[in-house]
Amino acid sequence: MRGGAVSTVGSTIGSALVFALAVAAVAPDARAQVKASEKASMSQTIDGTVFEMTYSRPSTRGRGELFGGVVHWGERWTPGANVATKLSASEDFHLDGVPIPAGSYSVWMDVLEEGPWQLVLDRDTTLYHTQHPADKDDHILVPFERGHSETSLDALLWYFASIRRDGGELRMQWGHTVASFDVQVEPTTRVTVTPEEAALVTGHWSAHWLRPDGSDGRAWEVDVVHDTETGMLIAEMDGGGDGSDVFFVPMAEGVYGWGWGGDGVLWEVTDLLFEFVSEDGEMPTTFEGRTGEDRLVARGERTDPPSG
Amino acid sequence: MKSRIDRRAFVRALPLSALAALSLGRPLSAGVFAVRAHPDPRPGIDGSDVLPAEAVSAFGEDVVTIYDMVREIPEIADGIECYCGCAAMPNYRSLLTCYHQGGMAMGCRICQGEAKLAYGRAKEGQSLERIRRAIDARFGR
Repeated sequence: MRGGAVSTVGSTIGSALVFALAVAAVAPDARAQVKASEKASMSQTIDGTVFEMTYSRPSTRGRGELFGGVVHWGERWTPGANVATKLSASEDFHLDGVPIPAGSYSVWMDVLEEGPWQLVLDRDTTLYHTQHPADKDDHILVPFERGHSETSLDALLWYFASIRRDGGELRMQWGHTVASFDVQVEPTTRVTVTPEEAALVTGHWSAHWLRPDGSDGRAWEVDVVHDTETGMLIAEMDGGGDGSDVFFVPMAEGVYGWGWGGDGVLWEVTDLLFEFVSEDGEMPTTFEGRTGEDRLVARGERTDPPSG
Repeated sequence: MKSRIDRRAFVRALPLSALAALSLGRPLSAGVFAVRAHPDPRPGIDGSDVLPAEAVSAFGEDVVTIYDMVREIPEIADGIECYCGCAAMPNYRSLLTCYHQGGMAMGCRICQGEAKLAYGRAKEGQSLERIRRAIDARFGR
């Protein structure tokens, strides 16, 4: 009987604790509250895919060893605090090569003393940090090697350390420990052109920017070159540049977007389109430049034979 | 060989009108050539089924103007595939039918953008084939 009573009391206390934790987790911020692990969020768009992370940021607070101490070896730990860290993505993507469907996930890490750690994505985004999810068939697992930073970070941080046209490097750091993941999105823009496509537009072109009344304004010259290494079309112009590249990015047959980049990597595609026009249905002899509102702002003509 | 121009130098050389295109920075949606086949315009098609101004006036003057534009170029609009989701709607056939009863053009920026582009190009005397390419480049996905 006594055991039963203790058990009942214990269960009541346990329920109260769970309730209190749940309230703490979901209570609206009606007034300012100091929290040991403050809420934070991070958002990053890469080629239209929106990544968002919401998490709480635990601090070291002089607690000594973080991993193997505050976080036990062998623990399935949420890299955050309070409610489990949440990762959302608006489109499908890859994390270290592992395909991840669009959606929201709670984020966990299997923290091991030896060997690679493992990122675990769970469809349940309501878990509290103490509700370590057991293995499930629909878990997405991403093994990774933890890294070390010479600089210690007191409060845990998620961030994109670098951004590419087709992805970036997602990082988590707490103390000296770093977890780094390669994020890859499906590019919406094809940047390479075939030799056959390139043959139609490579060569020397003389052009004018147009005044608002349609008359010729400033003259400019451009050599359109096919970089056979990268497969990209490069616009070479007078202008005293610093070596960054202007690309013609294929948007439709004979229509190219004006892009910027360097070292064969596209950084940005502008809204300026260049349409190459053929009089006889074969080799283009003129081009037009148009803004996003389809306003004609440049006109050019071929002034030497195509380089093929 | 000419030096490669950098972004700053290039932007300095641009006229204001073109600079606006860069500063707006609207992402282009095309680029993969996953373009749809455009429909052949129906012989003798006319704009009589395009909704009249009074039916769309609640959506503003700009929308009324765009409907007027489509009414003027039915033989072009009927030869253009619409890149918004309206292709899945009943009775959809071409950009022209987006402007008929049951179409969604009054509230769709893609339907409206395609029509404005097509109208402007048609007034320049461009061929349907060339207008289609421009539509593909701006709106295709």
